[in-house]
Amino acid sequence: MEFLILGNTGDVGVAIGSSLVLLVSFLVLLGALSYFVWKPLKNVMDERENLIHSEIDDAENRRIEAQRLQKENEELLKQTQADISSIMEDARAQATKEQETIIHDANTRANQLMANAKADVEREKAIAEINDQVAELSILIAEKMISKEIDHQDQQQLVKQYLQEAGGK
Amino acid sequence: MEHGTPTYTIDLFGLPVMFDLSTSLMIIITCLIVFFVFFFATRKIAVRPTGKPQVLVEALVNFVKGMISSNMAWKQGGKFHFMAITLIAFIFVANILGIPFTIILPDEEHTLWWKSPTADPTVTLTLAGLMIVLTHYYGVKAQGMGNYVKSYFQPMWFMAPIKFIEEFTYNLTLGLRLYGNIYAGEILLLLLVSLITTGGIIGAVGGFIPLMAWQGFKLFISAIQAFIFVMLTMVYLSHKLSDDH
Repeated sequence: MEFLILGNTGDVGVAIGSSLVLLVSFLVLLGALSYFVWKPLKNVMDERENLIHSEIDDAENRRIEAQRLQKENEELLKQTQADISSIMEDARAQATKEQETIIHDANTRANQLMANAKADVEREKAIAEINDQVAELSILIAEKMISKEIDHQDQQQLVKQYLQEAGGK
Repeated sequence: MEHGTPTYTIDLFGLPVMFDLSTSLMIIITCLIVFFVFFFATRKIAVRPTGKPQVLVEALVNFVKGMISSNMAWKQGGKFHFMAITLIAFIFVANILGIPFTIILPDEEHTLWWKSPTADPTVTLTLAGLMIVLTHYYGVKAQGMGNYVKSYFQPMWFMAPIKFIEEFTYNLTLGLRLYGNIYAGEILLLLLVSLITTGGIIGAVGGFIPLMAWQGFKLFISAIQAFIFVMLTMVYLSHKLSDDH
């Protein structure tokens, strides 16, 4: 192997001892580092990796759960809104119906009242007319009675009658 | 630019085993720095990061994870994760150790004590060899011995020698690329330093800016080389692991 080594001046042999020192110390170093440094470090790193993996899985699960809940809520909201709008529609229809009924009733009653009032007015008018006619007729009768010739006999009888009446009192 | 190397040789069952003392020392220093930096950076770790150190270390861990998963399935490559982080941290620290200063003793050999351990070919080739052995081990484990041996004779039987040599080339290129980059960088640093210290007033003024620029660039090279080393290791590993290769 000597001829392979650059810088070998020939008078120095191959330092097999150095090789042995290197082999022994490198293997000891490997063992010591593995035991004291790499193994604990690797454990910690693996632990972190597992932690991250589990956290990611967890987050994914939570995301799916949240999505499910959101969909559920949206459906619920939609249904509630539909319910509300149908209830509102019903109420509005009911209100319209009631309104119409009330207006109709009011109209009917108003018409009736109007008719009653008209009838009353007409009756009063008729009564007044009748009164007038009666008065006219009585005046006519009185005129006729007065214009008729009262004869002597009748006059006497009338006076008698008035006197009797006055005496009777 | 010749520097002496402090060596120590022991006899192991009659075989002389030579230690490059400065390289060995720097390897151990690198290991200690890497260990304590990461140890103290991760004392307070939590699932929810509380400080910058944890974030930085995690960024490195994730970066290396990305490098592995760009080459092979994480199910296959996950077991190399700790090795790859340790490797990239070790090589990066080893590369930058030679940037701030170099310690050369003022004896007649100019013994070099403080340097990047990766400026030593023994170190880089050993690391590369370790990685290549690893690829073969996991190749046999993943494909089974039969398929592993068969893969050398595909697509044509006469490709076998080339494929066989290729395995050694992997080792050489992986190790020597790192060594060459760091060693050359240190040589240039030493040259610039000697220009400043021995070149008089002109040398000092003329060498200061390039020295700073080269230190910054060497920091960049250190990071890139550490990245390339680990990346290529993962490429070789994925070649050996996949069945269709």
